[in-house]
Amino acid sequence: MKRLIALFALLAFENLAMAQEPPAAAAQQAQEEAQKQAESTEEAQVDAVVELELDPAVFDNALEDFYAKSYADAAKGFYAFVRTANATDERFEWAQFFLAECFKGLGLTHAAVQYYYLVAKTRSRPEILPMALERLEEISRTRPFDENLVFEDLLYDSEFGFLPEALSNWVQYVQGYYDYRNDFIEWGNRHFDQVKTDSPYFLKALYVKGVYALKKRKDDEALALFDSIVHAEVDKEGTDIFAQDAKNQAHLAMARLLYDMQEWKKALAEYDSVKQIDLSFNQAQLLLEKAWTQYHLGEYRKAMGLLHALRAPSYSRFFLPDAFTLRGIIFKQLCHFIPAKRSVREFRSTFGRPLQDLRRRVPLENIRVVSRGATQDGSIARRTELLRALEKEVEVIDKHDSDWGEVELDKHLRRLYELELREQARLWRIDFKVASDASGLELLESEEQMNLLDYEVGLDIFKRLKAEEARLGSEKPLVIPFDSENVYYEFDTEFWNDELHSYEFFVNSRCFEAASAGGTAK
Amino acid sequence: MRRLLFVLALSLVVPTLARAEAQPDIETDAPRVFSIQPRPYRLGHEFSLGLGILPLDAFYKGAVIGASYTYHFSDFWAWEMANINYSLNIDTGLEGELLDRYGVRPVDAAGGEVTLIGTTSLIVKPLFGKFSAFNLSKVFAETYFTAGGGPIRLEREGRGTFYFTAQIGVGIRFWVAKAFSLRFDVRDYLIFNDALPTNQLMFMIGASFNYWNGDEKKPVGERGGSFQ
Repeated sequence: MKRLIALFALLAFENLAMAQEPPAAAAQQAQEEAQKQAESTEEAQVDAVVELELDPAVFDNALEDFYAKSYADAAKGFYAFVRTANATDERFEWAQFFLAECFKGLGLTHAAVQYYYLVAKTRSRPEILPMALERLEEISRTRPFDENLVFEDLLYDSEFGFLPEALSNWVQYVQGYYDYRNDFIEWGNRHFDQVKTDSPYFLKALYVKGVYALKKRKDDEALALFDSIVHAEVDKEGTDIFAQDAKNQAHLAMARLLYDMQEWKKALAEYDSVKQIDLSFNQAQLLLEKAWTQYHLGEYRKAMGLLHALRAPSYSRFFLPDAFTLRGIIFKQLCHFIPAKRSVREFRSTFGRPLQDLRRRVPLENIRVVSRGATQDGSIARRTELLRALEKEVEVIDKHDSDWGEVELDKHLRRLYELELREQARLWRIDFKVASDASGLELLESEEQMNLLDYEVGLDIFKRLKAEEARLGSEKPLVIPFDSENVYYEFDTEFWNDELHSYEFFVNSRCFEAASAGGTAK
Repeated sequence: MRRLLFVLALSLVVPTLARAEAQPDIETDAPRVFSIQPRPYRLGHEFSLGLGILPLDAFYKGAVIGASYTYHFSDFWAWEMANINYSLNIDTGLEGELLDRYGVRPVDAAGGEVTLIGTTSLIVKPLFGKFSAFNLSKVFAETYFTAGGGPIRLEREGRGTFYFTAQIGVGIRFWVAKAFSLRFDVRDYLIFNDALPTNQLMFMIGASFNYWNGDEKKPVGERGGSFQ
C-alpha cells in the first residue's frame, strides 16, 4: 500500500512538473523519450549488437539449464543467443520462446508476455505459435498483464490460421469483443459464432452481447441473454472458476436489472445465485447490494447481517460509504436511535478527514480513501494491479543483476519495465481522473445522506407521542431453537468465509405502535 | 392556574418519558449476531460398522467388531435401535503368570469375559460444528451422547450367561460425504451380574452409511424454546 501511495505521490509530482514545463521544453523531452523508446525496441537491440560473435554451444547449454530448472542461467544463455544470432537462424524463435518460459519461471510475467508476444506476432515458425498463444491465454486468465499489447496489438485484426479449439475460442472471443467495442456488431457476431458452446468463452461472448443489448436499452433481450448464460451447459459442476466468474457476472447483471425494475424477490434470488469464488471487491459490493434488496423486502435483520459481513477483514478495506447510510437507516426504522446516531458518528470518524481534504481541494490522488475507492473496481483496478505487479517484478530483476550483467540482460529488462511502467502510469492517470472524480462525488453524496439521516433521527427521538395512545410493537420475540434444520453459529469476533452471506442481526423493533392508527410510530 | 401549568408540563414530559423507556442502553444491549445456515449434513437411517477394543480387564483384552442401526427422528434426537458387538478376547497371560509365580488363581468377580453385547439406546446430539482443517477446508462434526441398555453375554470356561447391562457413552462424528461419516465412540457398560455391578469400557471407531439424507426429509420446522 505504501508503495502505491508513493506511486500516487510520484505521479502527482510528475503531473505537476509536466504542467509547469514550457511547451518547447516539453516537445524536446517528448522527442528524447521517443528516441529512447526507439532505441529500446527488440529490433534496435538486435541491430546494435550484430558484431558480437555467436558461440554455437550457447543455445544447447541454455536449453540444458532450462530443463534443469535453472531459469536465471538459462535466461542468460537464451538472451545471449537472441542478441547475437541472426533472426533467420532456425533456433531464433525457439530461443525467444524459451526465454519467455524462463521469465515466466522466474516470475517476470511482463517480460514473458513480451517474448511470447514476439513469437506469436512474427509467426515465422508455426509450430511454436499455439504454445505461445496458450501461455498468453493462461496469463490473461490468471495474472495482470498488458491488455493493449496482447488483445489489441496481437489478437485483434490478426489471422492465425488453424488453431487448437481452446485457443481458437479465446482468439475468436477477443476479436468479437473488440469488434463489439468498436460497434462492428456484424463482425463481432461472426467471431462469436465460431466460439464453441462448451467453452467458458462462449459465456463471455453471450455476456458481451447482453451488455450491448443493455446499452441499446433492450432490457428483455439482455435478460434473456444473461439467463442463457446461467443455464448454459458449461461447467455445470461448478469446478471451473473462470466459467463460474462468467456465470456470476450474468447473475449480477440480471439481479441489477431486476433491482432497477423493483422486482426485489427476483433480484434477491439472482444475487443469492452468485457464488463466492473469492473475497474481492465484487463480492463486497454484492453483499451491499443484497443488503439493499433485503431492506426493500423489509428483512431488516438479514440486511443488517449482510452489512455486518462487510466488517470482515477482507472487505473492511473497501470504499463503500453506502453501507453506513443503510445501517443508519435500518436502525432508525427499527427505532434504535442511539445505534442510528452511532452509525452517523462512525461515518464521520471514518470519512471526516477525507471529506475535509476534499473541501480543501487536496489533489484526489493524495486522499487515500478516495484513491482506494477509485482504484478498487473496473479497468483501473486491473491497471493498478498491473502496476503493482510490474514493481514487484522489477525487484526480481534486482536480485539477478549480478548473474545477468555479463550479457546486459538486467539492463535490457530494466528498460523494458521502465517503458511499461511509464506507459501504464500514463494510462492509469487518465483512468484515475474519471474514477477519482466519481469516488469523491460518491463520498460527498454519502455525507449529505448521513447529515439528513442525523437530522431525521434527531426529529424521531423527540417526536411527541401521547402515552395512553401508544403501545409497544407486537412483534414476535426472536427464538433460537435447539432442534432445527438450521444451525445457529453465534458471531464471536471471528469471521468465517462460508458465513458471510448468512449473518442475521437478532434485533427487534423498538417502535411504538399507535393504538388508534395501528401503524408504527416513527 | 398552578395546577394547569403542572398538567401542561406533565403532558410535555410524559411522552418523552415513554420514548425514553424504549431506548436501549446500547453498551449492554448490543444485538446478537448469528450466522444461520441450513445443516449441510443430516441423518435418516444410519447403518454403522465398527472396530473396537475392551481395554479395562487386566486378564484379557477384547477385540470388538460391531454393527448398529440408528433411526434419526430429528437433528437432535435419535434412537439407536440395535447395537450388537462381538468381542474376540485375547488372553494377556496374567492368569498363567500368577499361577506359575505365586500359585494363585484370581477370584472371578467379573463373572467371565465379555463376548457379546446387544443394546438399544437413546441418542441426543446437542453439539454440531465445524473445524478449519489447515485453514484450507472445513470439516463438519457432531458430538452425541448415548444412554441405553440390553443383554450382555459373559463367558467363563466355555459357558456363557446373559446379564443385563446399562450403558452410557459419548461419540463424535466427522462427515466425509452426505452418505458417509466416520465416528469415534466411547461407551461404558455397567454389568449387573452380581450384587455389585461391574464395569466395562469400550472404545470404537466406525464407519457410518446414511440412507435417506436430510435433503429428502421433510422440513421438521423449529422446535424448542429460546436460549435468549
